[in-house]
Amino acid sequence: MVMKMSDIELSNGGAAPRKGEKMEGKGNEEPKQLTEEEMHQLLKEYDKPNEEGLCDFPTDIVFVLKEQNNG
Amino acid sequence: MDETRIKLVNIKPIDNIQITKPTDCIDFMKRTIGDMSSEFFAVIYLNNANEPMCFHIVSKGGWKAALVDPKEVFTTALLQESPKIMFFHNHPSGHVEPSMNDYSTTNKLASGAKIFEIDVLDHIIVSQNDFYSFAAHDDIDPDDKDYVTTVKELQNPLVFGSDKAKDIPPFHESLNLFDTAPEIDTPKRRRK
Repeated sequence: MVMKMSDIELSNGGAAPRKGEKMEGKGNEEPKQLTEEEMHQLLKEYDKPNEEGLCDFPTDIVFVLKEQNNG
Repeated sequence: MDETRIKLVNIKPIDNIQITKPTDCIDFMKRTIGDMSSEFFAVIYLNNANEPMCFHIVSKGGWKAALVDPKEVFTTALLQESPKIMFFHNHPSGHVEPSMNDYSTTNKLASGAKIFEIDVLDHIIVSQNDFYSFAAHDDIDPDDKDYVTTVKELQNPLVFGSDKAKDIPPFHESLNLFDTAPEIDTPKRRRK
């Protein structure tokens, strides 16, 4: 299978999902600016041991530190 | 054939934060995951100019360990077209010395990165007040040797001479040699 670069889409998402909240339908929302404190608080919400010991953090969130210069 | 798309669902810009070089990431990660009671494994993706572009929590585990899936690490690196990456995880115990699992995970990820020609700058274990750099201890060998020099200075300030090293008196002062050394009599020239 050959995949063109244009087929790879990086989507700026919307609000952070909370526990139990579905990710669908968030892709087209405006990206929300987070402060470092808000981001830390988001991680803190997941800082609890879960029963299975498996990762329960949504791993498809990427936190942007510097916007890419595509020019 | 069906159209295929690869999508990162959420990209969240973080404002009011100044991270411009790899070593800035150490303090940032100490603040971000250093105080957690569970283990978080994060990856910071950098561009060719060594500027950190984004970070990604790849795994969150229990108080003892976090399982890291290399596919998560490299999928994001490829989507971001990132040539350099740094690994971070926290030790909730506060002791930053690496375990055998930490070494084996590092070796596994570094081997994977070589296939994609991605330079693994470092793997850093953080706690709230301390960190352990694999690169500073020569446990990992990144292509970027300038980074290694810098992180060695940060990891061992007393040896490599950062700001803390300036507080140490110079060697001759600590031994007080110049205060006790006898004055040397030089023979005076006689006038003809």
